[in-house]
Amino acid sequence: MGGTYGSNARLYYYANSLSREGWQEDLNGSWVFYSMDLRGLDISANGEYFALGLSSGEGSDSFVLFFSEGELMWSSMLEGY
Amino acid sequence: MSDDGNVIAVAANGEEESAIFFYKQSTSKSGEDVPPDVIFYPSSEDIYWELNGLSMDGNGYAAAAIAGSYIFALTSDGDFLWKYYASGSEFSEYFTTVTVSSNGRYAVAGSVMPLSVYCFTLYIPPYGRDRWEAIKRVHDTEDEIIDALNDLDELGMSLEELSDFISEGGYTYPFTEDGDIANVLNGLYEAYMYLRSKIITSDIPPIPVGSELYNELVSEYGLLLEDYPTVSGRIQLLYAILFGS
Repeated sequence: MGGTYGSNARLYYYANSLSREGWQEDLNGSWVFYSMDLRGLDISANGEYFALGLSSGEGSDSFVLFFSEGELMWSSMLEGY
Repeated sequence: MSDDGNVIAVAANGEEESAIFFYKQSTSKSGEDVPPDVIFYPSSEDIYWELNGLSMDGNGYAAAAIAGSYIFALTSDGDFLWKYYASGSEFSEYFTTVTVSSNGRYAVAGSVMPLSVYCFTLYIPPYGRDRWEAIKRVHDTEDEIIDALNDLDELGMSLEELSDFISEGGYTYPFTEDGDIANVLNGLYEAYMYLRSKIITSDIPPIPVGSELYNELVSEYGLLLEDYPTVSGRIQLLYAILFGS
């Protein structure tokens, strides 16, 4: 899950969600993208992969980030978008 | 994102133009500044509104996007499928959300003012109805050239020996030298050319005998790649090994 708080985008990653119970604070990963807005987030059917779209606070560039089991695999900049 | 995570669709608005970007084989990519594989500009279909939503089917074949009063569909290869302009009698409708069913059959889009919901057929999947026909076509095509592989298997020579035969003799297709070897080499060459016109869409780089890739291939699939899982793939690799360079 993720969102934009203030001027930073934040992403929280929980694995094995189905086997969790109650209030959970032990994240499997979290990221802060400074001066970024979170514009999109999607996850593969089996939960192994997820991708997010960020736009710079200035709004001049966007980025796509792709994760595998919480590890960043690749990124892509969309210049001018 | 497709169900398997391999295809990603991204809608982005620039100052001058909007675009939809597709990334394919995403699970095999790595590094920074990965370029998109496909870029589609809605302006090419006279859609100039800002993109406001995008959804792709679970197979990663097609996506539907909304932009102002337009909803339109395209494949992940960037081929435009259709568009629809929602023109209410009193209002211009602005789509605010779109979702595509996982099987790609339907796209549902909604607008708030006035409150409306539209359901479209995203695409009639050739992948379901014609899948077996496509597989049969490949199978039938590969049947045409299977003798070339059988002849190679029966020749009793390794790829290294065949490669040496070609390079030391300076031979090129058509091979007219030693009978059996020439027949096998001609058969493999012609099999590749046949598949090149039917199934194989592009050449792969040469794979010299003794190269790291060659060693990995014969280690994994046997000295004649006899355990390679597809006929077309095996022929393509054999061509790259024997004739590529």
